[in-house]
Amino acid sequence: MSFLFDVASVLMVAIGCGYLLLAGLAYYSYKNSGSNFLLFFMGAFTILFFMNLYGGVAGAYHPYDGLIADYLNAFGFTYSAILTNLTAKNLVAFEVIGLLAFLSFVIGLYKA
Amino acid sequence: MVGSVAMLEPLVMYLGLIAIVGYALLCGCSIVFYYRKGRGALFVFLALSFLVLMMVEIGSLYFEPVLDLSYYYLVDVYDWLKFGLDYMFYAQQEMWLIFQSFHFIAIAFFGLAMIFASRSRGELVKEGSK
Repeated sequence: MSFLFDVASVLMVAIGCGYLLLAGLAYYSYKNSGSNFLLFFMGAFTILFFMNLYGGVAGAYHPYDGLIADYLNAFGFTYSAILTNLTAKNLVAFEVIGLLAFLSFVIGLYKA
Repeated sequence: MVGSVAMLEPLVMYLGLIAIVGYALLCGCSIVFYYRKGRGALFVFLALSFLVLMMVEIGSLYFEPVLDLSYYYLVDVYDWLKFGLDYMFYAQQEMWLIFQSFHFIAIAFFGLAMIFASRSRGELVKEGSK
């Protein structure tokens, strides 16, 4: 197993860091104004941070690289099927986390 | 390109569609709040942020660089298709990256909205104070 951070993975981690900064800014605004809706926006930005971090790291993670790779590559079709299933599961988790952020945005906007 | 959306896991596709509709609704709600509640800068920047996020979701879903089992099947049966399919994959990935980078525009708009959330006419405001 190994990590291979390509352009897409690095970009997603960078986007995640942007959302983390945004969560900090929302908290700063909350401390200044005391508006409760900012807490929900802070929560949404934190969730988006974890979503992008998960997307970046999961995209860079190649669990079947390494010592058994040659053995698995001998059965090319099966190997690709495993990776495809893994990608699909990661995408489902990625989208579900995104919907949690969306719910937090809805509550925040309702309270604004 | 449309084929790649069809290649996606159905659950992923539906979740993506829900996110697109959701962000469109949030954008619409922000515009409605802008007219009803005032606080112009906050809701205008929120509406812009949700609009950009909606565009990102549409672009990401449409250009999701997924090569499914059909890729390996097609390359196995028709070897000459490999160049075209790989070219399509990299073209999709380029477009996907461009749409993902739009997140930074959304982050900038959200940042402005968060700054304006605690300020009115350039001055800090506390909830409940006039």
